[in-house]
Amino acid sequence: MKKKVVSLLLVAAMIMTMLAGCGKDSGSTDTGSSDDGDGSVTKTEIGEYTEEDPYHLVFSYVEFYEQDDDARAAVQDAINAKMIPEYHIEVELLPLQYADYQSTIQLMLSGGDDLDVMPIFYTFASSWINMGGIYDMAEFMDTEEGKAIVEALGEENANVGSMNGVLYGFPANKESVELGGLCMRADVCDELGLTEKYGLEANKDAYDGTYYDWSVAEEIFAAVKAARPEMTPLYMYNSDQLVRFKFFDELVDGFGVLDWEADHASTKVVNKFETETYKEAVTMLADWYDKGYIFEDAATDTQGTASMMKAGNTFSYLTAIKPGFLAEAEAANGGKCYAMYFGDHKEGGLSTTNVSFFNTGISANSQDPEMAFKFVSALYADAELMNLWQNGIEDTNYKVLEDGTAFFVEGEDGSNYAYHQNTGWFMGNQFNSYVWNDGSKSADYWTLLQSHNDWAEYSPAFGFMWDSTDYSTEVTALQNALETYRAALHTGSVGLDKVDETIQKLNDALYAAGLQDVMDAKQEQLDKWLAEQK
Amino acid sequence: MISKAKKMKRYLPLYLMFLPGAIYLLINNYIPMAGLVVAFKKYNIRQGIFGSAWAGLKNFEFLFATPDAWVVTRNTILYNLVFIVLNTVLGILFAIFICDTLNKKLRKMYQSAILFPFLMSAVILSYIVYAFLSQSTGIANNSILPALGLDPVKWYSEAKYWPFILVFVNTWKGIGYGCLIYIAGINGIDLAYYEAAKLDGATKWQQIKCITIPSLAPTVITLTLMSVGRIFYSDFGLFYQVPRNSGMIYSTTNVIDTYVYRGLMEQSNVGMSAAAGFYQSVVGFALVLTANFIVKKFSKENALF
Amino acid sequence: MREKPFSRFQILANTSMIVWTIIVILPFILLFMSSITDENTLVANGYSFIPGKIAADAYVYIIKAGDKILKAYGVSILVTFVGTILNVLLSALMAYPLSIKNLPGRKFLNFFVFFTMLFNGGIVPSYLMWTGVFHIKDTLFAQLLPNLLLSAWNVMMIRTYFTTSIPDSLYEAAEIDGASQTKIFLSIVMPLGKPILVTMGTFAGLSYWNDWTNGLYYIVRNRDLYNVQNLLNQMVSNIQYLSTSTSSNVTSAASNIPSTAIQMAIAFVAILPIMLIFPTFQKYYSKGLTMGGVKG
Repeated sequence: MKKKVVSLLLVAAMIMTMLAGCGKDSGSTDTGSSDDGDGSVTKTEIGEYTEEDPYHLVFSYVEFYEQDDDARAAVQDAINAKMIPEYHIEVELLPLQYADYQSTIQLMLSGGDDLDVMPIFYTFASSWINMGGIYDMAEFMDTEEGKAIVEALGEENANVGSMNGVLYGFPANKESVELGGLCMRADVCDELGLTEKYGLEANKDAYDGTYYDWSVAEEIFAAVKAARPEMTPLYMYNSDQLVRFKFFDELVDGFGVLDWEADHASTKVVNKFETETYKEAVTMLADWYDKGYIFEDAATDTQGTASMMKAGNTFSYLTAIKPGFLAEAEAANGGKCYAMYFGDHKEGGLSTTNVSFFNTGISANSQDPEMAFKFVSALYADAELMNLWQNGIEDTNYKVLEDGTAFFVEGEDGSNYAYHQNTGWFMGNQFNSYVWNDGSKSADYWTLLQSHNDWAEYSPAFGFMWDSTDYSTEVTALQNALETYRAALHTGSVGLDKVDETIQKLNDALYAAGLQDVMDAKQEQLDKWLAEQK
Repeated sequence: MISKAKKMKRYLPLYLMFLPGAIYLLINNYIPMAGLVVAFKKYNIRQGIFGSAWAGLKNFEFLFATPDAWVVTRNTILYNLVFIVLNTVLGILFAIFICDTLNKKLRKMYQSAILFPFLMSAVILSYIVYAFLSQSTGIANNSILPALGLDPVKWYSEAKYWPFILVFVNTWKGIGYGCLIYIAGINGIDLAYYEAAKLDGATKWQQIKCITIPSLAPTVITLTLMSVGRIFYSDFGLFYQVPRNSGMIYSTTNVIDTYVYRGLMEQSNVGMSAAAGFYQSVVGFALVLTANFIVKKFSKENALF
Repeated sequence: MREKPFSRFQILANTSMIVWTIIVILPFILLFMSSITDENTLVANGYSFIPGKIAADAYVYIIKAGDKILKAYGVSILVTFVGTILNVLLSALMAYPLSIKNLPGRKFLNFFVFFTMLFNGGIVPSYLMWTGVFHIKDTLFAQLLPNLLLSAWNVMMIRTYFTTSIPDSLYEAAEIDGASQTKIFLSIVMPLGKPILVTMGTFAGLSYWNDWTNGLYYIVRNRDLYNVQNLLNQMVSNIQYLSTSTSSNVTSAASNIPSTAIQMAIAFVAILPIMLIFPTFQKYYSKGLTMGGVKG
C-alpha cells in the first residue's frame, strides 16, 4: 500500500510544481510593474507599439445599466477604430457586475489575469494597495498625459486618490458635494398647500442657497400624516442614510471622524457615535419613527425608492439633490415630484470620499502601465473616447440634437436602448461628453453641475486617506459592532425610549472592539499628513 | 495467505477504479489546499501565496479578540447541533412514512415535496420569509396574528423568535437531503426481514425499531460524523439573507460565516478570510477525529476511517 | 406492502406527509402569485396568496429577454446532464473500493476522501489552479469542472450504502465464479446500488442546477455561458447592492433594475423545469429492487 501513497504523492508533487511554475510566470511578468520604477524594462523588451501591433488593453468597469452584448461589441470596434491609429492601443471592454465587482477584480489580480484599467471603490483602496494590486501612477504625473488629467480635474482632485504617497486612482469628474433633502410627490404637496408655502416649483432642483431646517420637514410629515393616513410620509430603507442629516468627515470608514457640523475647522478625530451631532440626528429619527412618519419596515427593507414611489403609498424619500435631479427622479418614480433642500448649514461638507468614491486606476497586472496610463488620461482628456464609451456610436446609438445635447436615436428610449452606459459619474470625465437630454437639460448642464460644487466647504482633512491595514482586526470587529445597531438607530426604528440606551450599547461595543486604538492611529496618520501638507 | 502478487492482481482493479476520483480530488481540493498557508501570511499579489511575508497568527486575531466572537461561535455550534438532530430524526421519520405509503401517487407527491425546497435560492427564500414576517405588509402580522387575536410582532427586531424561525426554515429547506438518503436506505433493506417479522406477529413499531432503524444506523452515523466535521460552518444564505441582515437580531442570527463576511465586506483581506476558513476546518477536524474515535469504540465497521 | 390501507400507521403517515406537503407548497404558490401580481400592488400591499391585481408584466419582460434566458437554459441543462452522469460514475467508482472491507489501505483512502470535506484552500488558489493550469476561464468547462464534479460527501454516502446494503456473500459467490472486479462492479454493485446512486445523482444534479458560483468566478467575458442561476443572481444581488449603496448616483441606477415581480418570475422560471422533470424521474426511486430479486 505504501507504493500507492508514494505514487499519489508523486502526482501531487508534479502538479504542485506546475502550479508553482505558473505562479512564478505571472510573478515575473509582474516585476515589470513593481513600484521601484523599472517599468521601462518591460517597455524595451516588448518594444514600441504600432498601429499594426497595438498594445492590448483590458478596460474593466461596472455596468450599472444593462447593455446589449452585440451593441457593446460594435462600440468596442468603434473605439478601436479610433484608439489603434491614435494611441496604438487596442481596447477590450470588460464590463463587470456591481454586486460581484470586488470578487472578480480580486480574483483577476490574484490570478495574474490581463487587466489594465480598473475601477477602485474607496473602501478597497487600502487593502488592494497593501496587497500590491494597484500600480502607483505618481511617476506619470509629469508627463503630457498626467498634465491633461490635472487640467481636467484640477490639482486638488487629481491628487485626492492617493494614500501614503501612492497615487492609486483618479476620481470621476462630477458634482461631489452631496447637498440633499427630500424628494416629494407633487400632487400631495399641491393638495396640502405645501407648494405655495415653500415656493416649490416643477423642475426646480438647482441649489440656490435656500435650505430648510429639518423641523420644517417634520411639519410637512405631520400634515401628510393627517391628510393621508394611509400614506408613509417618509420612506427609508436599510442603508446608511444618516449622511442626509449630518455631515461628518468619515475619514473613510467612519470609525473616528471629524465632527464637521460642530466645527468646520477641527482636525480632532472623535468618535462619531458619541457626538451631540449624532445623538441629535438619531433622536430626531426615533421620534419620527414613533410618530409614524418613517416607513415601518425601514430597518430591513431593500426595495429602493423608485418602486415605493411608484406604488403610490409613499410621500417622500431622502436623497441627494443636484441640478437635473428631478427629471431623473420623475422618470424613475413615475410621477411629478418636487425637491426641497434641508440641512443645518448653507454649504455642504466635502471630504476625500465624497470626491473619490470610485476611482480609475491601473492594475499591477498591467503589462505596460505607461500605455495603460495613456488610456486613463484619454478618459479625462479625449472627448471622443468618453462619448464612445458612454453613449456609443453617433447616429447608431445616439444622435446629437441641434442644441448640442445628445439623445437616443429614433425608435429607442430609456426602456429599449441597445447601448447607453449613463455612468459618467463613475469613471472618467463626463464633462467632456455630450449632455444627455432627458427633457430637462440643456447644453450648459455640465457648467450648472460644476457650479453645484461651489457650495462645497472642504473638510480640513480633504485629500487624506486612512490606511487601515494594520488595524484589520479592529475594523472587522468594529464593523460587526456597528452593524448590530446601525439599522435600528439610523432608521429610527429603535424608538425614542430606547435611543439613549442603544447609543450607549453601541459605544460600549465599539470601544470593546478597539475603537480607541483605531482613533489614535487615525489621529496620528492625519496629523502626519496635515504636517506634510503645510 | 494469498501471495503478494496475487493480492496485487486482485486489488489492482479496485485501485484503478479509485484513481479518477482521486485525481479530481487532488486537483480540485488537495493542491489548492496549499493556499491555506495564506492564513499565516500578509498576502501580496506580486509575491504570490508562498512568497508573501509571514504574519504569524495576526490574521486569526479577529476570530477571538472580540466580544462577538464568543456569541457567533456559540450560535454556530448550537444551530448545527439542532440541525443535525432534527434533520436526522425527522428525516428518518418522513422516510419511513414515505416508504410505507401505499398509494403510489401520494408517495410520488411526498417525495417531490421534500425535494422541491432545495430549488429555492437563499435570496428568493428571504423574500418569501419576508412576505410572511414583514412588519407592515407581512402575512403573519396582517392575517394570521389578528385572526388568533394576537398583537403584531416586530419580527426583524426581536431576537428571541429567530432560533425557531431559522430552525424551521432550515428544516423546510434541508430535510429532503437526509430523507431521500434514508429512503434509499430503506429501499435497500431486504424485504425478507419484514416478511419474517410479520410472520412472528411483530407490530409496525417493532418492525421499525428492530429492522428499519438498525439498518439505517450506518448511514446515520456517516451523515452525523460528516456533519460534525462541518459544525463550525454554516449556510451563509440562511443566516445572512433570511434574517435580512437585521442588526437587532444578531444575538441569535450571527454565525461565524456572517461575522467574517460583515467584518471583511468593506475590506478586501485574503489572509483573514483564509484564516477564518482554516479555523473552521481545524475545529471540525478535531471534533470529527474525536467523534470517529468514539464510534470506533462501539462499532468498528461504522467508523469513517 | 401487505397492510391495511386505513391502519393507524397509514393514517398517521399520510396525515403528517400531507401537512408537510402543504407547508412545502405554500411558499411556492406565494412565489408564483407574486410573480403575476401587479408590481405596485405588490409593493404597497405586500405579498399575498390572492393577488389583488393580476399582471403578466414580469413574464412579458422574461419573454422579451427570451434569447438570453434560452441560452442560459441551454447551458444549465447541458451542464446538469453531463455533470450529473460524470458525477455519479466517478462517485460510484470511488465508493466501491472504499466499501471493500479487506482492501489494503482502505482506512487511508477513506481518510483521503473525507479530508477534502474539512479543508479547502479558498477561492484564490482554486482560481489559480483552474485558470492558470487548466485554462477553463470563459469556457463551458468552467460551469462543469470546479467543485461540482465529485463531492466527497456523496462518495461517503454511497460507500456506506454499498457496505451495508450489498451482502458480502454476493461478492464471495461472484469471486468463486471467477468474475473480475469490473464485472462485479457492473453486474452487482451498480444495479444493487441503484437507490443510492439515483438519490445522490439527484443531489448532484441539483447542485449543478443551483450553482452560480462557478459562473461568477470563472465566466467573466463570455456571458453566453451564464446559466439560469447566474442570470437570476445577477439581478437579485445587483438590486440589493445598488439600492442600498450610500452613493446617490449608484442608488439612482437601481431604479432601472427589474422589479420584485420580475425577480419572482425569474426565480419561478428557474425552478419550473426541475419541478416538471422530477416527478417523471421518480420511478427510479421506487422499490422493487430487492435482494431476493437479484439473487433469483
